[in-house]
Amino acid sequence: MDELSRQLVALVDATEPVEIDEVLTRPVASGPPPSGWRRPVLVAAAAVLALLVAGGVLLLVARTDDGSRTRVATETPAVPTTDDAPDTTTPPPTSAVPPVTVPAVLDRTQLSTDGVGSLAFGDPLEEAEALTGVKARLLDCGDSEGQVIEIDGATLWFGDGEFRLWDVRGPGWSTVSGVTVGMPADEVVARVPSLERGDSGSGGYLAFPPLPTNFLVTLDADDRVDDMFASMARALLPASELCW
Amino acid sequence: MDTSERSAEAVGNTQDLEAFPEFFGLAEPQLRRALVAAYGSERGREATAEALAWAWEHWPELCRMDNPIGYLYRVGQSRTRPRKRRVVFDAPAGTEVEFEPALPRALAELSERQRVAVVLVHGYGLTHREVAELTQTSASSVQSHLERGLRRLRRSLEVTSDG
Repeated sequence: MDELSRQLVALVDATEPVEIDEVLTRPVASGPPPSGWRRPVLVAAAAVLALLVAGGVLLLVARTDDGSRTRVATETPAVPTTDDAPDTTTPPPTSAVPPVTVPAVLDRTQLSTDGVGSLAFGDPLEEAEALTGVKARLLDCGDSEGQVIEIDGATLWFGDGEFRLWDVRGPGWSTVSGVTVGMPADEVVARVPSLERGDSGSGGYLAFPPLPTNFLVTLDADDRVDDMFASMARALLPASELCW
Repeated sequence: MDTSERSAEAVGNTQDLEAFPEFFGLAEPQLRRALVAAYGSERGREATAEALAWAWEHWPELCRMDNPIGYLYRVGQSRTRPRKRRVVFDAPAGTEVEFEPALPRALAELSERQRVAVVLVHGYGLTHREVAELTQTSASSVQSHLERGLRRLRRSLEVTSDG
């Protein structure tokens, strides 16, 4: 071990270990992890402008914290108990574990301005391919190229090898605020009151003022969500690469 | 046997709650080192505690995973990611290691992935594959981040040789 190695270890090991009692008694946020976003984030970005010019639109969805649950410590690693989640008061069996749903790595209910579930904007393409199990394809837009991963009505866009934008126009996906494709615009606004209506000239949209922002929704002729987009703040692919 | 195999074994045979302390003992140091490397002393420790609290809360689910520690690493990441704060390392006190005062800042200036690769591979001697499994990236990516991170770190510290 060289001197640098020793110093690195000393630096990191200077952090006090986490004790098991601390974990068993720790209040934790509820909700499915890994979630990439827990506080309202309003980020203006050049993104929307590019999208609007190209005929698309974005909305910024705010999500508030889900609250927390508290485990009660016991002398041994015991059954977690909570005040508000009676399901967790039932001890897990010690022999036969009931069927449980393993959290999806790419959580389709966690669209946000941070990315999609555990896949955050800025993550490398190879990581996205590993998480989704889908190989990216090259999208040739004429004078520029981008890479996309397409999954069941959602498209993940990559520029310079990193995750830059998601575009959802199919069912089965929702933002952290519960906004889905096909949802009436009024319901979207009820869920995210800060959104304001606009018209790009080619159709209506909902977005947080002021533009540009990094998350918006296009509306169809029936005033329902047609398409949702979110992009990495200030780092959206140029409109020419989006192949609208 | 690599780290993910050991962690899977720790949870695999006995899925009851009594197995949690054993898993905790194996997972805590790995998660803490990786998350402290990624986010600094305070945030890294906080992320570790969050990840392990999630593990306790979802223990039966975790028992079914192939790479539980890798998953928890992502839980820790997702819990701390929204807080865009500077990475700060507390300088160790009372250590026998002669310490370069510029190291915390130089390390903080690396990218997150570079820091994790440098600390875990160069500091703790993990293999590229082990780090790749923990961070759910590829070994070649770890290698790339390690090389760039070490080069940049040494340049910052004006270190020209391992000695």
